[in-house]
Amino acid sequence: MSLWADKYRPRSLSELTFHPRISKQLQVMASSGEFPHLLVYGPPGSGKKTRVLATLREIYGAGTERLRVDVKTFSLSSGRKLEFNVISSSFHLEITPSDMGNNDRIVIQDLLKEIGQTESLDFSKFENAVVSPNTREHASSRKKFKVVIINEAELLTRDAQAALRRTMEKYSANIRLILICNTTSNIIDPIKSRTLPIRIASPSTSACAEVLEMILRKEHHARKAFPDDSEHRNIIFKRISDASERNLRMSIMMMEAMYMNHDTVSINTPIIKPDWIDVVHELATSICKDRSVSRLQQARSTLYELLAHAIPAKLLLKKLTLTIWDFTGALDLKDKAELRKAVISASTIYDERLSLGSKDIFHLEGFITKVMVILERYVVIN
Amino acid sequence: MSSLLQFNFSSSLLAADSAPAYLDTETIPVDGKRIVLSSGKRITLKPRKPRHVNLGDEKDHSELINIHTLLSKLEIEEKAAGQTTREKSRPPRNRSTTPTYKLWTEKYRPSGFLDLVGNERTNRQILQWLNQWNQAVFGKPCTETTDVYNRPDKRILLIHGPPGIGKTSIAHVISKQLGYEAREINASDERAGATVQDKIKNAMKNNSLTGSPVCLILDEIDGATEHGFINILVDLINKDRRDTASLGLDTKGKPARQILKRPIIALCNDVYSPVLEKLRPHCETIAFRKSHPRLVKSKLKKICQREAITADDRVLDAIIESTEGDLRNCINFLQFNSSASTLHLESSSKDTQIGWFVQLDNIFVRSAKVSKQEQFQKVFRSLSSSAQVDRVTTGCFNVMLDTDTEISRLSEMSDWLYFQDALGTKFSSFDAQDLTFYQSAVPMKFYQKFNEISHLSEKRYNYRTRDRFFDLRKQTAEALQRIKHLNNQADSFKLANRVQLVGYELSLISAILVPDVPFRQIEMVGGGGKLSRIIELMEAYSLRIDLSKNEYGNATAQIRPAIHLFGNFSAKQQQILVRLHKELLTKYIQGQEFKTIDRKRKAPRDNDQTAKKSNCSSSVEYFKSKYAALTDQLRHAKSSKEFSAAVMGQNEYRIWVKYHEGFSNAVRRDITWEHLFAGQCGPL
Repeated sequence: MSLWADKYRPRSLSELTFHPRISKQLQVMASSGEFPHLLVYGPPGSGKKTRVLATLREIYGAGTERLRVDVKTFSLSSGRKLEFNVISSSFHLEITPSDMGNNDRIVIQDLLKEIGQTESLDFSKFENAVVSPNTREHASSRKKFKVVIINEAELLTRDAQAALRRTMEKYSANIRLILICNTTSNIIDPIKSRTLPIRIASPSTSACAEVLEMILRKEHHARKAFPDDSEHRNIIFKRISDASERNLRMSIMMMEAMYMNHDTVSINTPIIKPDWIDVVHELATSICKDRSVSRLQQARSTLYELLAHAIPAKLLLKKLTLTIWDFTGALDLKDKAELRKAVISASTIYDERLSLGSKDIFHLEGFITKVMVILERYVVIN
Repeated sequence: MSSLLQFNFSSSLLAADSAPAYLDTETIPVDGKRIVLSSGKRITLKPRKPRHVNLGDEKDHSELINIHTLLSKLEIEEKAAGQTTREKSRPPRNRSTTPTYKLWTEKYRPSGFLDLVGNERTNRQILQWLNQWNQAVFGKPCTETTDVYNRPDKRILLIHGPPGIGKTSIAHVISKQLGYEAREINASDERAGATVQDKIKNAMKNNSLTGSPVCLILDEIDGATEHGFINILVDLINKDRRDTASLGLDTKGKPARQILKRPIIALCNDVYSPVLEKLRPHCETIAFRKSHPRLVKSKLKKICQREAITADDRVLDAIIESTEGDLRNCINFLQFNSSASTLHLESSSKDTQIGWFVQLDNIFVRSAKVSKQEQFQKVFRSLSSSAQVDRVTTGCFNVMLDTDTEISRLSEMSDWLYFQDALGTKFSSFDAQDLTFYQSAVPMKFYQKFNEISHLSEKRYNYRTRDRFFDLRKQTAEALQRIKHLNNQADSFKLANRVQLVGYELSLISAILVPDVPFRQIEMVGGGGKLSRIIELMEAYSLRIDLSKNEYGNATAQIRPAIHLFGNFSAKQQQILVRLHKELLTKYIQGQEFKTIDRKRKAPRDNDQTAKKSNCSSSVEYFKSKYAALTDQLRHAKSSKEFSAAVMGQNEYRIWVKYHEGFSNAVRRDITWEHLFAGQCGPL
């Protein structure tokens, strides 16, 4: 039993619905049995990991789905011990080195070298003979390498990336890397040049709706809760995919949440969004309207609250900026373009500060003050 | 007049002798003074004898002193002393002939309750707390508390305050006064783990050689870098809590109850030091403040008299000021300069470390006395010698919104705060000692921009919101850690992008699992489909629900790990949680029943299988199979009634032989063939 989002995750390449061209490419690649290091990037919820896992399944067969979780321990030079989750099957393993923060280099060095230096024995024939005979022809070509999926590759530190670049070449006989990330801007060029980049875009609204519709078709109970009219359903799907910014995983979860929270879902049923989004929205509009120190005080306590709930500061900054962007768009000012430019440039400055510094509250509040100053300047002139 | 009275009162407090004079009525000493009180009572005052006695020479007050009688004594003495001093101040006494090589701070350490300087209220609080142990320790009646043994609710007394004001002294004096033997464990002692545990246990259970019970004094516990020490204390308290709660219950066969029956007094300077975090909630905390300079001065005067040093008020004032009311430091200073027999002012002032909130004051509050330039110099100097610039800056950030200012200025400051933050980040990443100098730049900028107000509001002390923030952040971080390490089949948690997980996924999951609708709705709709789905999901994600009662007696439920921290729950959702808890529980119980039934069914079959196994196993086991057959017969003969007993019988012969060759824990025992066979026969 799992969430719809997990339950209806496509397992094979043929089940994938949108981006048919990429799926085709992957299919071709998988059938050749040989592939280079991959750099898969795209916005969250666009099906990166799904595609990667489906490709692996295509190559190795169903054995990739039998996962186990190991906790590896690494000891630092200072003697401190770190624990690290590794999810693996007999053909691949999946790691998130950014969990280790600044110590990710050690994971890359130790773990990858260890895997790279051991030649993997070919058990695939036996594995597949037992599990699914129909995929045997794929597995028959002997794969000597293991696949390592690195999640959140954009959060790898420079050190870790530097450690990675030589490993990628040296152990390429035994190891294939698949880096998954949202953006490539943090990835150093040497790594980009060693990998085959694959961009996976967010699904279009209609593709999103299609998937949601497909799920509803299979969930009989849920289907009764949603309107019969396909027009109406499509309106709901569109609202959901808009609210989730075309993040498919979130769309599915939102739909499930809506179903769980309402007897019948109609066009007017409110979309269930995470609470903090509303809070940030309210905060942004209030500071745009009232630019005073007392408002700043309220903003500070709201920010503290949000940060305390472990919501990443960068995400907050992004949401704030976007809301302010929308708000200023609706203003009737002579220098509207100038104003909005100033807001965006302030946002980038504070984004950098968030990366370089460590006290999020300083910079988030700084951004809010800056926005207040900018607004004050432009609004007062008019 | 009133101030004079106050002064006399305190002087009498300082200078009490072992046997208060007014109690003496039979003989009139040569130079005694007869005094008639306003009430008409006659009393005689004896002059004080200089004492060269050590600490502890004083007679033990093994019996309890009622605080009220003590106070009335004080009152009488105050009056008496008031009259004597009005007549004439005493001439300075000659210096003692016998040379003492003690530190004066030890020599003049107070030895009785009346010797203590200042803090009368606090002293009384401590006395009161210790008195509450009377019943538990001495079996004497005392004020009722909720506890069975009439102990105070919080079992540890934590006294904190700046150094040199008599925390250690008061703990010793009061415990002695109430008939305890003080046993001190301080930073000089080994305080790691097991060593200290024995020490504490001994102290808690035994009396001292003199027969008086022990009062444990843990000095300088904020310096306890060994976390083990604090952990042991917390453990002690928790065990006590648990065992006290289980008092009414039957505890046969359980380990002996560990109940605290002796008072523990802990002393520290900084009550907010992170080491004490765990201990703090279990302690009755008492803040010990500096005594009023006047009281300190009179004590110093007393010492000067005893040691025949002439020191005028001005000098003493200066000493007190330079040491900031640190009495111990004052006395040290006196001894150091005593050879001169008259004191001069050029004293080496104590290298003062100003607290960060004082520095904050200096930055924001414009002092009327000095010019801006001078104040700038002063602030700059104190900042550059301070080790807490980081804290000062954070303080500046906290305060800056409260100072009526305009936004543009605040916006400028945010750039400076960034500078500070970047600097701090650099500090942690590599050794950047060269940058230390620039650290004070940011607070100085604050000074430049904000130094104009006359008074800083009290808000800066209001850290409740920030404390809450830190608490919450800690909780969420912990919950996140737990969620990541959840042992379930949903790997999505373990490897999910943190931003996605926290920002979207968790709050949506909590919305899915705990819908914001009346419970009836999810129960009824879709033939209970929703409810069973929720329960299955809960199990799939291996989430638990904890029930507890809040202060109003209503049941509140919480999901573990705390997913709810990532999305708030309404009252309706709370109710659902409570109901869900019930459902999960019934499901669990049903599951258990099934399991036991299954096991019962399987039991006989298992038996057959093992028998088969032993038959067809390797070649060596010919004897074994013979033996197994024999035991089978025996067993059937003994108890052919139940299968479960058969399983038990099999277990009977299970033997583990472990032979650690070369180790001291080697097992040597006689083994018969029967045993050996049985040992091999039973599943190892």
